[in-house]
Formats: sequence, C-alpha cells, structure tokens
Amino acid sequence: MAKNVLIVDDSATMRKIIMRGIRQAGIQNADFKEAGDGLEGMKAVAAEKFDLILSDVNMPNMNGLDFVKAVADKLGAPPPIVMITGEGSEEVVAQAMSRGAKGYLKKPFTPEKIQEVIGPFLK
Amino acid sequence: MATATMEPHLVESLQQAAQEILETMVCVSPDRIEQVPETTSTFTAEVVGLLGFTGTRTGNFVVRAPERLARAMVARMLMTEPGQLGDFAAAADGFGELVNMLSGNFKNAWVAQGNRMDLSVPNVIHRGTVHVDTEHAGAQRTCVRVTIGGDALDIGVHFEADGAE
Repeated sequence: MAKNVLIVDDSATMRKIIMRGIRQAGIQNADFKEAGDGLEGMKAVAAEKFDLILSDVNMPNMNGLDFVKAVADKLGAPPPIVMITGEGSEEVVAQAMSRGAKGYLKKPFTPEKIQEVIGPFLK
Repeated sequence: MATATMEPHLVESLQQAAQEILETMVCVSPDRIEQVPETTSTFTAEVVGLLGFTGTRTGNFVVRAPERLARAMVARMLMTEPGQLGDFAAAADGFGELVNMLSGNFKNAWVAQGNRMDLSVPNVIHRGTVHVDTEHAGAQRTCVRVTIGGDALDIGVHFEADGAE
C-alpha cells in the first residue's frame, strides 16, 4: 500500500530532487504531496493524514523548526518528521529533535543516504 | 584596502562543500575549484544569488554566474535540458537552492568553531547589481571560483565590519 509523504520545502527544485532521490533509492511505494513553507504544510496536515513528513529548515513564513513544533502541538501523535537541510549543525539537529523530528538528512544527499535515513519510515 | 581574507580552513570547507554539492546534486565534476581575490563588494552579473546572515558575524553570501551556467546547473539538478526550464523563474529557484546548500555547509564549518550563524532565505537577482558593505576595516571576504566548462561560478562570502552582536 502506498505511503502518503508530505514534502515541505520553499524550493520547487528541491522538492523535485527529493522525490526523484526517493525513487532512485528504490522506494517506490510513496505518494507525494508538496508544500512551499510551514504554513502550507500545516494546511496539508490539517487536510489529510500522512505517513511521513519531510521538511526543510530554512523557509520563509514558517520555518522548519516552528513547523515541527506546530505539527506536534496540533496532532499530538504526529507522523514521523525528517528534516532535510544544508544546516547539519548539532544545534539545529538538537532543536529539531527536541521539537519532535525523528531524523535528519543533510544536503547534499545521495540515494544511499536517503535509503538509510528515510527508508525505515516507508517500510 | 583594509578588508582581510578568511581563515584557510573556512575557505577549504567552502571548496569542499562546492565540490560535494556540485558532484552530488548537480551531477557535474568541476574543472577547477580555487580561491581567487574578492576585489570588490559591488557585483554586476547575469545571475546573483544573495543570502544574508547574522550571528557572531553579519554578512552575505554572494554567488555569481553567467545565466548560461546557472541554467545548465539547474537543468542538471532537474535532469532536464536548459531549454526545457522555460522562463528564468525555474532557474532562479534552483540557483537559490544551490546558494542555500553552499551557505548551509559553510555554516556548519563556522558553527563548529563555536560561532553562531542564522541564515536568511536566498534571493536571486537576474541581470542586476548588488552591493554589500565590506569596504571597511575589520571586514573580511573571500571568493571560491568553480570553473565548469569554461564558465565561472563565483562563491563569495562577506563578513561585514563590526558584525559582532
């Protein structure tokens, strides 16, 4: 059964790259929905149920760290959220994890790394 | 000129980030990556990506490229042809993401030294002029030039003077 995956990133280019990377990683059971920032992401989360959320950190309007917290506050038991970011500093990762993220994928990434980080959430 | 360059390891981390990002996300192997003098703080280029930061120092990433190279890189990121990108908006979005990744990776090296850096979102200017304020004593700036197929991608990092909070 297909898994419902929400990708939250302000770059349409990056959203496409993430979708392609997931396919290249051999993960074929994902249906993708897209949101351009945390606010759009919140609307998507309110409208349907997701099995996994992938979120950028550095976004306008509502950044990824605030988005993670808002999802946790709204849903109580949210789906796993994985941050996808060029900012792999311990500080950012710690902040994301403390707000409810279950993992992070650092840009740039390879299909192998996608499989390692995201694969377990889509089995 | 009172403007200084940056510590060698920061330049090296920028070079490594550029190589890794281009090879992994753009699927291109640069012909050459080298530090070059950043002789100005005013830039006129076909494509300029600007991303500001605050924290231990205040400043900007200023990434420049000819439009032909910007389109070619974004097309490779999307596994399409440059002519398929349509108007410049798609290329600008992808170029902005490149700037985002380069600055995020530079931030990692900077933060590892105990510094703080908060990044803005990138802005991409098409055929315009950008000026950043790094002409004063205490400012630092450097540029890493990536040569791809004869075209240059210039990655400038500018720390303003008196940037400490």
